[in-house]
Amino acid sequence: MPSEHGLLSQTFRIRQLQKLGVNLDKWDFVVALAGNPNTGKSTVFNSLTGLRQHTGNWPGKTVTRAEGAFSYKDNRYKIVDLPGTYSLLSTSEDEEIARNFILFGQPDVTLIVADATRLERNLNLTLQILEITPNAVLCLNLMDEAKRKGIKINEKALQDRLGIPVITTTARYGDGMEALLYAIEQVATNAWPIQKRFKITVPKQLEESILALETDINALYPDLPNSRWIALRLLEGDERIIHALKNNELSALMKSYQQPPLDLSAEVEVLNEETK
Amino acid sequence: MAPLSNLRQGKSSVISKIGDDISGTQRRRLLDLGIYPGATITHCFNSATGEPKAFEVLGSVIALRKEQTDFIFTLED
Repeated sequence: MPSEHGLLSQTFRIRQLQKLGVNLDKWDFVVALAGNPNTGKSTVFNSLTGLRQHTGNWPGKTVTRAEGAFSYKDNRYKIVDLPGTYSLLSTSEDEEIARNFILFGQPDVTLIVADATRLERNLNLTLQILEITPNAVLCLNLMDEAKRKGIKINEKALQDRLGIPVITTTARYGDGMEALLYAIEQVATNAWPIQKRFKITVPKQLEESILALETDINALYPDLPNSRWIALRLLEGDERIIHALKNNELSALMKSYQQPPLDLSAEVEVLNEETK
Repeated sequence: MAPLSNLRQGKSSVISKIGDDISGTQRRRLLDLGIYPGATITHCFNSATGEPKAFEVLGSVIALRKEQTDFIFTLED
């Protein structure tokens, strides 16, 4: 995209990256952008798409999802910026938007943006996402602040434990973005080795109950992509999931995500105007 | 063990237990926010009416009510 997109695109240019803004005609892969509140998700979104989605240092800023696009090497990507949440267990509308998209939208890559200075807090959501999908990349953002605070992170060890690419970035200066794009490409194109991928192991008794429930769920709803996750929520006694399953809402939800994508470009344009 | 509601403003302690009175989604919510045994918690400040109170845990400040802080326990300092 041309340089009128401001400071970010001036400081951050990658040869094989083309920022496509809201040009969402067609894409090869869908990337979901998830993370705790205030970790820099929208900054990552903007630096990849060339858009100027509102960024700000307060939680709850991205209330609905915003969409943009970029191309890297030979592929076009649609990227969806989800609201920041601490959890995916849906006790609020924000969490439900984020969870439903990761669960039913079945993005090719879920990019988890984490605050490197608050790693422990951020890993809770990371594990909840890995419970739904192993097709994820962990972006440890705000590394400049982490360095200032004297925090050292062994990202290689973290990568080995989680089984997903772990990339350190300072998105506001474009640091690490090329490595991040490469990692996204690796996961999207299935080049990331499958045997490394994360699996949560549970006690044998629980595993048996999950499998039994999964079989029933699959029989009733053969199109449901995450029967294991649904089974776990049922075992926890999650009232909303029980309700949704009883009223056949899950199938409706899933279908709504399989429709052609919502055109949210108008919404992003408005945000662009607001920030001018 | 002492209830979190007894922790004085400006003081920190380590969470030792979430009582059985907090269960289900409410308990899970607290765990997601970083309220779990072993986490260090600081009583930062109170709202104008005294309730809820603000606590810092894992680098974020969150508000908790007496109905919750009475059943979250910390190590005595």
